[in-house]
Amino acid sequence: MQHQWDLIVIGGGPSGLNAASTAAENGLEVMLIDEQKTPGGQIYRKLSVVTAENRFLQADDRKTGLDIINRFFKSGAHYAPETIIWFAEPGRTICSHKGKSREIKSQYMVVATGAMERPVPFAGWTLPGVMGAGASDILYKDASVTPPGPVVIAGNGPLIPLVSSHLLSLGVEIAAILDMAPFTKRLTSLGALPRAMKDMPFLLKGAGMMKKLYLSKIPIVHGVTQIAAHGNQKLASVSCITPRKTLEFEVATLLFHHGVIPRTHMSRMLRLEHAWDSQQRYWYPKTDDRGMSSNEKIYVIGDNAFVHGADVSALKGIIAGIEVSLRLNMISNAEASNQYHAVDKNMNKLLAPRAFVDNWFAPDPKLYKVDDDVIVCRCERVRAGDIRMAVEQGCHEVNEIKIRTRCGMGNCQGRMCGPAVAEIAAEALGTEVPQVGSLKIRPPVRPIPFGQICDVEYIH
Amino acid sequence: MKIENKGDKRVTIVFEGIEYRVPEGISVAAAILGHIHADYTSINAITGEQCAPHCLMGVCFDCLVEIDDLPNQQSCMISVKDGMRIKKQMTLVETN
Repeated sequence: MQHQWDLIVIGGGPSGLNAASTAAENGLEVMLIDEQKTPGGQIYRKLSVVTAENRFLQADDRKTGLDIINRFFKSGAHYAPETIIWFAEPGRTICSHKGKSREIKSQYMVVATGAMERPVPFAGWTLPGVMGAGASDILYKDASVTPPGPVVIAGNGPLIPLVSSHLLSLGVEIAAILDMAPFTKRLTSLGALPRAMKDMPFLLKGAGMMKKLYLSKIPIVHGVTQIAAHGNQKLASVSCITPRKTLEFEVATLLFHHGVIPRTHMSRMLRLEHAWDSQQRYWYPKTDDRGMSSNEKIYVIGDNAFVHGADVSALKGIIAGIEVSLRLNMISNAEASNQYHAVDKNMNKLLAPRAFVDNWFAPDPKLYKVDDDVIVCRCERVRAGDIRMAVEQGCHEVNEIKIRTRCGMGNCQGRMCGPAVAEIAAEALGTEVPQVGSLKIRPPVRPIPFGQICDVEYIH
Repeated sequence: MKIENKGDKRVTIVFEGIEYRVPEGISVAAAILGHIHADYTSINAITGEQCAPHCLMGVCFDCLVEIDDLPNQQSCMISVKDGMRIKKQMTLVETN
Protein backbone atom coordinates (compact mmCIF):
# COMPACT_ATOMS: atom_id res chain seq x y z
CA MET A 1 0.00 0.00 0.00
CA GLN A 2 1.38 3.36 -1.08
CA HIS A 3 1.60 5.64 1.97
CA GLN A 4 2.26 8.93 0.30
CA TRP A 5 2.03 9.69 -3.39
CA ASP A 6 4.18 12.32 -5.04
CA LEU A 7 1.08 13.74 -6.66
CA ILE A 8 -2.64 13.22 -6.60
CA VAL A 9 -4.66 14.56 -9.48
CA ILE A 10 -8.34 15.25 -8.87
CA GLY A 11 -10.35 14.88 -12.05
CA GLY A 12 -9.95 12.81 -15.22
CA GLY A 13 -10.70 15.30 -17.99
CA PRO A 14 -8.11 16.42 -20.56
CA SER A 15 -6.16 18.58 -18.09
CA GLY A 16 -6.09 16.08 -15.22
CA LEU A 17 -5.10 13.23 -17.54
CA ASN A 18 -2.27 15.22 -19.10
CA ALA A 19 -0.98 16.38 -15.70
CA ALA A 20 -0.94 12.78 -14.47
CA SER A 21 0.68 11.42 -17.65
CA THR A 22 3.37 14.10 -17.76
CA ALA A 23 4.27 13.67 -14.08
CA ALA A 24 4.24 9.85 -14.27
CA GLU A 25 6.39 9.83 -17.41
CA ASN A 26 8.87 12.03 -15.53
CA GLY A 27 9.09 9.36 -12.83
CA LEU A 28 6.63 10.61 -10.20
CA GLU A 29 4.29 8.29 -8.31
CA VAL A 30 0.92 9.64 -9.36
CA MET A 31 -2.64 8.80 -8.35
CA LEU A 32 -5.52 10.15 -10.44
CA ILE A 33 -8.94 10.16 -8.78
CA ASP A 34 -12.05 10.53 -10.92
CA GLU A 35 -15.82 10.30 -10.40
CA GLN A 36 -16.47 8.67 -13.75
CA LYS A 37 -16.07 5.06 -14.78
CA THR A 38 -13.86 5.88 -17.75
CA PRO A 39 -11.35 8.70 -18.31
CA GLY A 40 -12.08 11.72 -20.48
CA GLY A 41 -14.10 14.17 -18.40
CA GLN A 42 -17.30 15.57 -19.88
CA ILE A 43 -15.81 16.41 -23.28
CA TYR A 44 -14.31 12.96 -23.97
CA ARG A 45 -16.85 11.03 -21.90
CA LYS A 46 -16.76 7.29 -22.66
CA LEU A 47 -14.49 7.90 -25.66
CA SER A 48 -12.30 4.93 -24.71
CA VAL A 49 -15.26 2.54 -24.62
CA VAL A 50 -15.47 0.66 -27.88
CA THR A 51 -19.27 0.63 -28.17
CA ALA A 52 -19.57 4.39 -27.70
CA GLU A 53 -20.22 6.02 -31.01
CA ASN A 54 -19.40 9.55 -29.95
CA ARG A 55 -20.44 10.83 -33.32
CA PHE A 56 -20.63 14.31 -31.84
CA LEU A 57 -16.93 14.70 -32.07
CA GLN A 58 -15.26 15.31 -35.38
CA ALA A 59 -12.59 12.79 -36.33
CA ASP A 60 -9.70 15.07 -35.33
CA ASP A 61 -11.29 15.84 -31.94
CA ARG A 62 -11.83 12.13 -31.34
CA LYS A 63 -8.19 11.48 -32.12
CA THR A 64 -7.05 14.27 -29.76
CA GLY A 65 -9.16 12.77 -26.97
CA LEU A 66 -8.07 9.19 -27.59
CA ASP A 67 -4.40 10.23 -27.71
CA ILE A 68 -4.75 11.89 -24.29
CA ILE A 69 -6.52 8.84 -22.82
CA ASN A 70 -4.13 6.27 -24.31
CA ARG A 71 -1.12 8.26 -23.18
CA PHE A 72 -2.55 8.24 -19.66
CA PHE A 73 -3.08 4.46 -19.68
CA LYS A 74 0.55 3.95 -20.76
CA SER A 75 2.05 6.56 -18.42
CA GLY A 76 2.23 4.42 -15.29
CA ALA A 77 -0.04 6.77 -13.32
CA HIS A 78 -2.38 4.95 -10.93
CA TYR A 79 -6.06 5.40 -11.60
CA ALA A 80 -9.00 5.39 -9.20
CA PRO A 81 -12.22 5.63 -11.26
CA GLU A 82 -15.75 5.86 -9.80
CA THR A 83 -14.21 7.48 -6.73
CA ILE A 84 -15.78 10.46 -5.04
CA ILE A 85 -13.77 12.83 -2.87
CA TRP A 86 -15.82 14.10 0.05
CA PHE A 87 -13.01 15.58 2.15
CA ALA A 88 -9.86 17.40 1.11
CA GLU A 89 -7.23 19.51 2.79
CA PRO A 90 -3.74 20.30 1.47
CA GLY A 91 -1.89 16.99 1.02
CA ARG A 92 -4.78 14.78 2.11
CA THR A 93 -8.11 13.61 0.77
CA ILE A 94 -10.72 11.11 1.86
CA CYS A 95 -12.61 9.47 -0.93
CA SER A 96 -15.33 6.91 -1.35
CA HIS A 97 -15.38 3.99 -3.79
CA LYS A 98 -18.05 1.30 -3.85
CA GLY A 99 -19.32 2.11 -0.37
CA LYS A 100 -15.88 2.23 1.30
CA SER A 101 -13.92 5.36 2.24
CA ARG A 102 -10.15 5.68 2.45
CA GLU A 103 -7.54 8.34 3.02
CA ILE A 104 -5.06 9.27 0.29
CA LYS A 105 -2.02 11.46 0.96
CA SER A 106 0.38 13.20 -1.37
CA GLN A 107 3.12 15.82 -1.48
CA TYR A 108 1.49 17.78 -4.28
CA MET A 109 -2.07 18.10 -5.50
CA VAL A 110 -3.49 19.00 -8.88
CA VAL A 111 -7.12 20.09 -8.89
CA ALA A 112 -8.76 19.51 -12.28
CA THR A 113 -12.46 19.36 -11.51
CA GLY A 114 -13.57 21.01 -14.75
CA ALA A 115 -16.56 23.19 -15.44
CA MET A 116 -20.32 23.00 -15.10
CA GLU A 117 -23.17 24.77 -16.82
CA ARG A 118 -23.97 28.12 -15.22
CA PRO A 119 -27.13 27.61 -13.18
CA VAL A 120 -29.51 30.52 -13.86
CA PRO A 121 -32.93 30.37 -12.18
CA PHE A 122 -36.15 31.09 -14.07
CA ALA A 123 -39.82 30.30 -13.61
CA GLY A 124 -40.41 26.56 -13.88
CA TRP A 125 -36.75 25.47 -14.12
CA THR A 126 -37.31 22.70 -11.55
CA LEU A 127 -39.91 20.89 -13.71
CA PRO A 128 -39.01 17.43 -15.05
CA GLY A 129 -38.21 17.98 -18.73
CA VAL A 130 -36.01 21.04 -18.14
CA MET A 131 -32.34 20.16 -18.49
CA GLY A 132 -29.03 21.80 -19.18
CA ALA A 133 -28.00 21.81 -22.83
CA GLY A 134 -24.80 20.04 -21.85
CA ALA A 135 -26.89 17.36 -20.13
CA SER A 136 -28.31 16.43 -23.52
CA ASP A 137 -24.82 15.82 -24.93
CA ILE A 138 -23.84 13.81 -21.85
CA LEU A 139 -26.90 11.57 -22.28
CA TYR A 140 -25.93 10.81 -25.83
CA LYS A 141 -22.26 10.23 -25.09
CA ASP A 142 -23.14 8.02 -22.12
CA ALA A 143 -26.02 6.02 -23.50
CA SER A 144 -26.95 7.07 -27.07
CA VAL A 145 -30.11 8.56 -25.57
CA THR A 146 -31.58 11.80 -26.87
CA PRO A 147 -34.15 13.96 -25.08
CA PRO A 148 -37.77 13.63 -26.21
CA GLY A 149 -38.93 16.19 -28.78
CA PRO A 150 -40.16 18.70 -29.48
CA VAL A 151 -37.20 20.45 -27.88
CA VAL A 152 -36.65 24.15 -27.27
CA ILE A 153 -33.04 25.23 -26.78
CA ALA A 154 -32.68 28.56 -25.01
CA GLY A 155 -30.00 30.83 -23.58
CA ASN A 156 -26.69 32.30 -24.62
CA GLY A 157 -23.50 30.30 -24.71
CA PRO A 158 -21.19 28.11 -26.77
CA LEU A 159 -23.25 24.95 -26.23
CA ILE A 160 -26.35 26.43 -27.90
CA PRO A 161 -25.08 26.06 -31.49
CA LEU A 162 -23.16 22.89 -30.58
CA VAL A 163 -26.02 20.96 -28.96
CA SER A 164 -28.56 22.27 -31.49
CA SER A 165 -26.50 20.95 -34.38
CA HIS A 166 -26.02 17.62 -32.62
CA LEU A 167 -29.76 17.16 -32.06
CA LEU A 168 -30.42 18.26 -35.62
CA SER A 169 -28.12 15.55 -36.99
CA LEU A 170 -29.71 12.98 -34.68
CA GLY A 171 -33.17 13.78 -36.05
CA VAL A 172 -34.64 15.20 -32.84
CA GLU A 173 -37.50 17.64 -33.45
CA ILE A 174 -36.41 21.15 -32.46
CA ALA A 175 -39.32 23.58 -32.02
CA ALA A 176 -37.12 26.67 -31.70
CA ILE A 177 -33.76 28.06 -30.69
CA LEU A 178 -34.20 31.06 -28.38
CA ASP A 179 -31.15 33.33 -28.37
CA MET A 180 -31.02 35.31 -25.13
CA ALA A 181 -27.80 37.22 -25.90
CA PRO A 182 -27.93 41.01 -25.68
CA PHE A 183 -27.33 42.43 -29.17
CA THR A 184 -24.66 44.80 -27.82
CA LYS A 185 -22.35 41.87 -27.00
CA ARG A 186 -22.37 40.81 -30.63
CA LEU A 187 -21.27 44.31 -31.68
CA THR A 188 -18.60 44.82 -29.03
CA SER A 189 -17.09 41.42 -29.81
CA LEU A 190 -16.05 42.48 -33.28
CA GLY A 191 -13.02 44.36 -31.96
CA ALA A 192 -11.55 41.09 -30.76
CA LEU A 193 -12.13 39.34 -34.07
CA PRO A 194 -8.79 40.10 -35.78
CA ARG A 195 -6.81 38.39 -33.00
CA ALA A 196 -9.26 35.49 -32.97
CA MET A 197 -8.44 34.92 -36.66
CA LYS A 198 -5.10 33.45 -35.61
CA ASP A 199 -7.12 30.29 -35.01
CA MET A 200 -9.22 30.12 -38.17
CA PRO A 201 -10.17 26.41 -37.87
CA PHE A 202 -11.81 27.21 -34.53
CA LEU A 203 -13.82 30.13 -35.96
CA LEU A 204 -14.81 28.16 -39.04
CA LYS A 205 -16.08 25.31 -36.88
CA GLY A 206 -18.42 27.74 -35.08
CA ALA A 207 -19.49 29.43 -38.32
CA GLY A 208 -20.17 26.01 -39.87
CA MET A 209 -22.51 25.09 -37.02
CA MET A 210 -24.39 28.38 -37.34
CA LYS A 211 -24.73 27.93 -41.11
CA LYS A 212 -26.12 24.42 -40.65
CA LEU A 213 -28.70 25.71 -38.18
CA TYR A 214 -29.82 28.60 -40.36
CA LEU A 215 -30.16 26.29 -43.38
CA SER A 216 -32.21 23.83 -41.33
CA LYS A 217 -35.14 26.32 -41.16
CA ILE A 218 -35.49 25.78 -37.41
CA PRO A 219 -36.98 29.01 -36.01
CA ILE A 220 -34.13 30.99 -34.42
CA VAL A 221 -35.47 33.85 -32.32
CA HIS A 222 -33.12 36.62 -31.17
CA GLY A 223 -33.49 39.13 -28.35
CA VAL A 224 -35.43 36.72 -26.14
CA THR A 225 -36.05 37.54 -22.46
CA GLN A 226 -38.21 36.30 -19.58
CA ILE A 227 -38.19 32.64 -20.42
CA ALA A 228 -40.57 30.47 -18.37
CA ALA A 229 -41.35 26.75 -18.26
CA HIS A 230 -44.93 25.69 -17.60
CA GLY A 231 -46.62 22.43 -16.72
CA ASN A 232 -48.27 20.50 -13.94
CA GLN A 233 -45.49 18.31 -12.40
CA LYS A 234 -44.00 17.94 -15.89
CA LEU A 235 -42.90 20.35 -18.62
CA ALA A 236 -45.67 21.12 -21.13
CA SER A 237 -44.75 24.47 -22.66
CA VAL A 238 -42.17 27.24 -22.76
CA SER A 239 -42.97 30.93 -23.04
CA CYS A 240 -40.76 33.93 -23.63
CA ILE A 241 -40.85 37.57 -24.65
CA THR A 242 -39.23 39.10 -27.72
CA PRO A 243 -39.05 42.83 -28.49
CA ARG A 244 -42.21 42.43 -30.58
CA LYS A 245 -44.38 39.75 -28.98
CA THR A 246 -44.89 36.93 -26.52
CA LEU A 247 -44.15 33.45 -27.82
CA GLU A 248 -45.24 30.06 -26.53
CA PHE A 249 -44.09 26.60 -27.61
CA GLU A 250 -45.53 23.21 -26.66
CA VAL A 251 -42.53 21.05 -25.84
CA ALA A 252 -41.39 17.86 -24.16
CA THR A 253 -37.90 19.16 -23.36
CA LEU A 254 -36.35 22.54 -22.63
CA LEU A 255 -32.56 22.67 -22.85
CA PHE A 256 -31.22 25.74 -21.11
CA HIS A 257 -27.68 27.08 -21.36
CA HIS A 258 -25.86 30.19 -20.19
CA GLY A 259 -22.25 29.22 -20.65
CA VAL A 260 -20.05 27.24 -18.32
CA ILE A 261 -18.38 28.20 -15.07
CA PRO A 262 -15.52 26.66 -13.08
CA ARG A 263 -16.46 23.93 -10.60
CA THR A 264 -14.90 25.35 -7.45
CA HIS A 265 -16.21 23.18 -4.60
CA MET A 266 -12.88 21.35 -4.34
CA SER A 267 -10.69 24.46 -4.54
CA ARG A 268 -12.92 26.26 -2.03
CA MET A 269 -12.88 23.29 0.36
CA LEU A 270 -9.06 23.45 0.09
CA ARG A 271 -9.30 27.13 1.19
CA LEU A 272 -7.50 28.42 -1.90
CA GLU A 273 -7.81 32.10 -2.76
CA HIS A 274 -10.35 32.89 -5.45
CA ALA A 275 -10.93 35.94 -7.63
CA TRP A 276 -14.05 37.32 -9.31
CA ASP A 277 -14.23 37.83 -13.06
CA SER A 278 -16.68 40.64 -13.72
CA GLN A 279 -17.10 39.87 -17.43
CA GLN A 280 -17.73 36.13 -17.10
CA ARG A 281 -19.37 36.66 -13.70
CA TYR A 282 -17.79 33.73 -11.91
CA TRP A 283 -15.27 32.98 -9.18
CA TYR A 284 -12.06 31.20 -10.14
CA PRO A 285 -9.08 30.03 -8.08
CA LYS A 286 -6.13 32.43 -8.34
CA THR A 287 -3.13 30.81 -10.05
CA ASP A 288 0.14 31.93 -11.58
CA ASP A 289 0.82 31.24 -15.25
CA ARG A 290 2.03 27.72 -14.38
CA GLY A 291 -1.13 26.83 -12.46
CA MET A 292 0.24 27.26 -8.91
CA SER A 293 -2.56 28.29 -6.56
CA SER A 294 -2.33 30.36 -3.37
CA ASN A 295 -0.97 27.18 -1.77
CA GLU A 296 2.41 26.35 -3.36
CA LYS A 297 1.78 22.59 -3.08
CA ILE A 298 -1.52 22.78 -4.98
CA TYR A 299 -1.91 23.39 -8.71
CA VAL A 300 -5.27 24.24 -10.25
CA ILE A 301 -5.67 23.54 -13.96
CA GLY A 302 -8.32 22.96 -16.60
CA ASP A 303 -11.61 24.78 -16.97
CA ASN A 304 -12.03 25.00 -13.19
CA ALA A 305 -9.03 27.35 -13.13
CA PHE A 306 -10.67 29.54 -15.80
CA VAL A 307 -12.86 28.41 -18.67
CA HIS A 308 -10.69 28.20 -21.79
CA GLY A 309 -12.01 24.99 -23.38
CA ALA A 310 -10.69 21.45 -23.73
CA ASP A 311 -7.59 22.11 -25.84
CA VAL A 312 -6.19 24.82 -23.55
CA SER A 313 -7.09 22.64 -20.56
CA ALA A 314 -5.02 19.81 -21.99
CA LEU A 315 -2.01 22.15 -22.22
CA LYS A 316 -2.55 23.49 -18.70
CA GLY A 317 -2.32 19.85 -17.57
CA ILE A 318 1.03 19.31 -19.25
CA ILE A 319 2.37 22.54 -17.71
CA ALA A 320 1.36 21.52 -14.17
CA GLY A 321 2.84 18.05 -14.73
CA ILE A 322 6.18 19.55 -15.80
CA GLU A 323 6.13 22.04 -12.95
CA VAL A 324 5.54 19.46 -10.20
CA SER A 325 8.21 17.15 -11.73
CA LEU A 326 10.68 20.03 -11.64
CA ARG A 327 9.90 20.97 -8.06
CA LEU A 328 10.36 17.38 -6.92
CA ASN A 329 13.74 17.35 -8.72
CA MET A 330 12.70 14.55 -11.04
CA ILE A 331 13.73 16.57 -14.10
CA SER A 332 16.41 19.22 -14.72
CA ASN A 333 15.73 22.83 -15.62
CA ALA A 334 16.97 22.10 -19.12
CA GLU A 335 14.61 19.16 -19.49
CA ALA A 336 11.73 21.27 -18.15
CA SER A 337 12.28 24.07 -20.66
CA ASN A 338 12.55 21.43 -23.36
CA GLN A 339 9.15 20.03 -22.37
CA TYR A 340 7.66 23.53 -22.08
CA HIS A 341 8.75 24.57 -25.55
CA ALA A 342 5.99 22.88 -27.54
CA VAL A 343 3.31 23.82 -25.02
CA ASP A 344 3.91 27.57 -24.97
CA LYS A 345 3.75 27.84 -28.73
CA ASN A 346 0.39 26.05 -28.95
CA MET A 347 -1.02 27.93 -25.99
CA ASN A 348 -0.69 31.31 -27.74
CA LYS A 349 -2.59 30.05 -30.75
CA LEU A 350 -5.36 28.43 -28.72
CA LEU A 351 -5.85 31.47 -26.51
CA ALA A 352 -6.15 33.82 -29.51
CA PRO A 353 -9.94 33.44 -30.02
CA ARG A 354 -10.83 33.61 -26.32
CA ALA A 355 -11.35 37.37 -26.03
CA PHE A 356 -13.79 37.21 -28.94
CA VAL A 357 -15.65 34.14 -27.68
CA ASP A 358 -15.72 35.32 -24.06
CA ASN A 359 -17.27 38.66 -24.99
CA TRP A 360 -19.64 37.15 -27.57
CA PHE A 361 -21.15 34.83 -24.97
CA ALA A 362 -20.61 36.98 -21.83
CA PRO A 363 -23.57 36.60 -19.45
CA ASP A 364 -25.99 39.46 -19.00
CA PRO A 365 -26.27 40.37 -15.28
CA LYS A 366 -29.97 41.17 -15.92
CA LEU A 367 -30.51 37.40 -16.16
CA TYR A 368 -30.71 37.26 -12.39
CA LYS A 369 -33.44 39.92 -12.11
CA VAL A 370 -36.05 37.21 -11.61
CA ASP A 371 -39.49 37.61 -10.02
CA ASP A 372 -39.85 37.05 -6.27
CA ASP A 373 -41.67 33.74 -6.72
CA VAL A 374 -38.92 32.09 -8.82
CA ILE A 375 -37.20 29.19 -7.03
CA VAL A 376 -33.48 29.87 -6.64
CA CYS A 377 -32.42 26.99 -4.37
CA ARG A 378 -33.77 23.87 -6.07
CA CYS A 379 -33.09 21.59 -3.10
CA GLU A 380 -34.63 23.68 -0.31
CA ARG A 381 -37.09 25.53 -2.58
CA VAL A 382 -35.94 28.97 -1.47
CA ARG A 383 -37.35 31.70 -3.71
CA ALA A 384 -35.80 34.96 -4.93
CA GLY A 385 -38.23 36.86 -2.69
CA ASP A 386 -36.96 34.96 0.38
CA ILE A 387 -33.41 36.04 -0.44
CA ARG A 388 -34.45 39.67 -0.98
CA MET A 389 -36.36 39.64 2.31
CA ALA A 390 -33.33 38.24 4.16
CA VAL A 391 -31.25 41.08 2.68
CA GLU A 392 -33.86 43.59 3.84
CA GLN A 393 -33.74 42.06 7.31
CA GLY A 394 -30.01 42.71 7.51
CA CYS A 395 -28.25 39.70 5.98
CA HIS A 396 -25.63 41.34 3.75
CA GLU A 397 -23.41 38.33 3.08
CA VAL A 398 -24.38 35.07 1.33
CA ASN A 399 -23.50 32.83 4.28
CA GLU A 400 -25.82 34.89 6.50
CA ILE A 401 -28.52 34.54 3.87
CA LYS A 402 -27.87 30.78 3.81
CA ILE A 403 -28.36 30.49 7.57
CA ARG A 404 -31.48 32.65 7.44
CA THR A 405 -33.19 31.00 4.45
CA ARG A 406 -31.55 27.51 4.07
CA CYS A 407 -30.55 28.59 0.52
CA GLY A 408 -27.54 26.36 -0.28
CA MET A 409 -28.06 23.90 2.58
CA GLY A 410 -29.61 21.12 0.49
CA ASN A 411 -28.12 18.06 -1.17
CA CYS A 412 -26.32 19.99 -3.90
CA GLN A 413 -24.61 22.17 -1.28
CA GLY A 414 -25.01 25.39 -3.19
CA ARG A 415 -23.73 24.09 -6.50
CA MET A 416 -26.97 25.11 -8.25
CA CYS A 417 -27.93 28.25 -6.29
CA GLY A 418 -24.55 29.69 -5.20
CA PRO A 419 -24.02 32.01 -8.20
CA ALA A 420 -27.65 33.22 -8.22
CA VAL A 421 -27.98 33.93 -4.50
CA ALA A 422 -24.89 36.16 -4.69
CA GLU A 423 -26.17 37.98 -7.80
CA ILE A 424 -29.63 38.53 -6.30
CA ALA A 425 -28.24 39.71 -2.96
CA ALA A 426 -25.75 42.05 -4.65
CA GLU A 427 -28.50 43.53 -6.81
CA ALA A 428 -30.76 44.04 -3.78
CA LEU A 429 -27.95 45.83 -1.97
CA GLY A 430 -26.96 47.88 -5.01
CA THR A 431 -23.44 46.47 -4.87
CA GLU A 432 -21.24 43.94 -6.69
CA VAL A 433 -20.98 40.18 -6.12
CA PRO A 434 -17.53 40.23 -4.39
CA GLN A 435 -19.05 42.43 -1.65
CA VAL A 436 -21.58 39.73 -0.69
CA GLY A 437 -19.01 36.90 -0.68
CA SER A 438 -19.46 33.29 -1.69
CA LEU A 439 -20.81 30.23 0.09
CA LYS A 440 -18.33 28.51 2.42
CA ILE A 441 -17.75 24.92 1.36
CA ARG A 442 -17.19 22.37 4.09
CA PRO A 443 -16.79 18.59 4.02
CA PRO A 444 -18.44 16.26 3.38
CA VAL A 445 -19.02 17.83 -0.07
CA ARG A 446 -21.05 14.81 -1.15
CA PRO A 447 -23.87 13.11 0.76
CA ILE A 448 -22.14 10.15 2.39
CA PRO A 449 -23.59 7.62 4.85
CA PHE A 450 -22.47 8.14 8.47
CA GLY A 451 -21.25 4.55 8.48
CA GLN A 452 -18.57 5.45 5.93
CA ILE A 453 -17.45 8.53 7.84
CA CYS A 454 -16.95 6.37 10.96
CA ASP A 455 -15.14 3.64 9.07
CA VAL A 456 -12.48 5.40 7.00
CA GLU A 457 -9.38 3.41 6.14
CA TYR A 458 -6.64 5.77 7.36
CA ILE A 459 -2.94 5.64 6.51
CA HIS A 460 -0.85 5.02 9.63
CA MET B 1 -36.26 9.15 -26.64
CA LYS B 2 -34.40 7.62 -29.52
CA ILE B 3 -32.23 4.65 -28.77
CA GLU B 4 -29.38 3.47 -30.94
CA ASN B 5 -26.61 0.88 -30.68
CA LYS B 6 -29.20 -1.91 -30.66
CA GLY B 7 -26.45 -4.54 -30.56
CA ASP B 8 -25.28 -3.55 -27.07
CA LYS B 9 -24.99 -6.19 -24.37
CA ARG B 10 -27.93 -5.87 -21.99
CA VAL B 11 -28.42 -6.27 -18.25
CA THR B 12 -31.60 -6.66 -16.22
CA ILE B 13 -32.51 -4.00 -13.68
CA VAL B 14 -35.59 -3.68 -11.53
CA PHE B 15 -37.20 -0.23 -11.39
CA GLU B 16 -40.17 0.21 -9.06
CA GLY B 17 -40.66 -3.56 -9.02
CA ILE B 18 -40.68 -4.01 -12.80
CA GLU B 19 -37.82 -5.66 -14.73
CA TYR B 20 -36.19 -3.87 -17.66
CA ARG B 21 -33.44 -4.96 -20.06
CA VAL B 22 -31.10 -2.02 -20.64
CA PRO B 23 -27.67 -1.64 -22.30
CA GLU B 24 -24.74 -2.52 -20.05
CA GLY B 25 -22.62 0.35 -18.73
CA ILE B 26 -25.05 3.26 -19.14
CA SER B 27 -25.95 5.44 -16.17
CA VAL B 28 -29.03 4.69 -14.10
CA ALA B 29 -30.36 8.16 -15.06
CA ALA B 30 -29.95 7.41 -18.78
CA ALA B 31 -31.75 4.08 -18.29
CA ILE B 32 -34.63 5.83 -16.55
CA LEU B 33 -34.91 8.62 -19.14
CA GLY B 34 -34.17 6.69 -22.31
CA HIS B 35 -35.43 3.14 -21.65
CA ILE B 36 -37.86 3.16 -18.74
CA HIS B 37 -39.39 6.54 -19.66
CA ALA B 38 -40.39 7.38 -16.10
CA ASP B 39 -41.69 10.93 -15.67
CA TYR B 40 -39.60 11.54 -12.56
CA THR B 41 -36.97 9.99 -10.29
CA SER B 42 -37.70 11.56 -6.91
CA ILE B 43 -39.80 14.08 -5.09
CA ASN B 44 -38.44 17.26 -3.60
CA ALA B 45 -37.92 16.59 0.11
CA ILE B 46 -39.51 19.91 1.12
CA THR B 47 -42.52 20.31 -1.20
CA GLY B 48 -43.09 16.83 -2.60
CA GLU B 49 -42.91 18.16 -6.18
CA GLN B 50 -41.60 15.73 -8.78
CA CYS B 51 -37.93 15.95 -9.82
CA ALA B 52 -36.03 14.42 -12.73
CA PRO B 53 -32.38 14.37 -13.88
CA HIS B 54 -31.34 17.93 -14.79
CA CYS B 55 -27.54 18.25 -15.14
CA LEU B 56 -26.50 14.60 -15.80
CA MET B 57 -23.03 15.31 -14.38
CA GLY B 58 -23.40 15.03 -10.63
CA VAL B 59 -23.96 18.64 -9.57
CA CYS B 60 -27.73 19.17 -9.25
CA PHE B 61 -28.81 16.18 -7.08
CA ASP B 62 -32.26 16.20 -8.69
CA CYS B 63 -31.87 12.60 -9.91
CA LEU B 64 -31.57 10.95 -6.48
CA VAL B 65 -32.91 7.39 -6.26
CA GLU B 66 -32.70 4.44 -3.88
CA ILE B 67 -30.41 1.72 -5.20
CA ASP B 68 -30.43 -1.67 -3.48
CA ASP B 69 -32.09 -0.05 -0.45
CA LEU B 70 -29.45 2.71 -0.14
CA PRO B 71 -31.07 6.19 -0.43
CA ASN B 72 -29.57 9.42 -1.87
CA GLN B 73 -27.83 7.75 -4.81
CA GLN B 74 -27.04 10.05 -7.74
CA SER B 75 -28.50 8.11 -10.65
CA CYS B 76 -26.45 10.06 -13.22
CA MET B 77 -23.17 9.00 -11.57
CA ILE B 78 -23.86 5.28 -11.16
CA SER B 79 -23.86 2.66 -13.93
CA VAL B 80 -26.52 -0.01 -14.21
CA LYS B 81 -25.57 -3.48 -13.01
CA ASP B 82 -27.31 -6.79 -13.51
CA GLY B 83 -29.88 -7.34 -10.78
CA MET B 84 -29.77 -3.75 -9.52
CA ARG B 85 -32.97 -2.72 -7.71
CA ILE B 86 -33.89 0.94 -8.17
CA LYS B 87 -36.70 2.88 -6.54
CA LYS B 88 -37.82 6.47 -6.83
CA GLN B 89 -36.77 8.46 -3.78
CA MET B 90 -40.06 9.50 -2.18
CA THR B 91 -38.82 10.88 1.15
CA LEU B 92 -40.29 14.03 2.63
CA VAL B 93 -38.32 15.85 5.31
CA GLU B 94 -40.26 16.94 8.35
CA THR B 95 -40.21 20.72 8.63
CA ASN B 96 -41.74 22.98 11.24
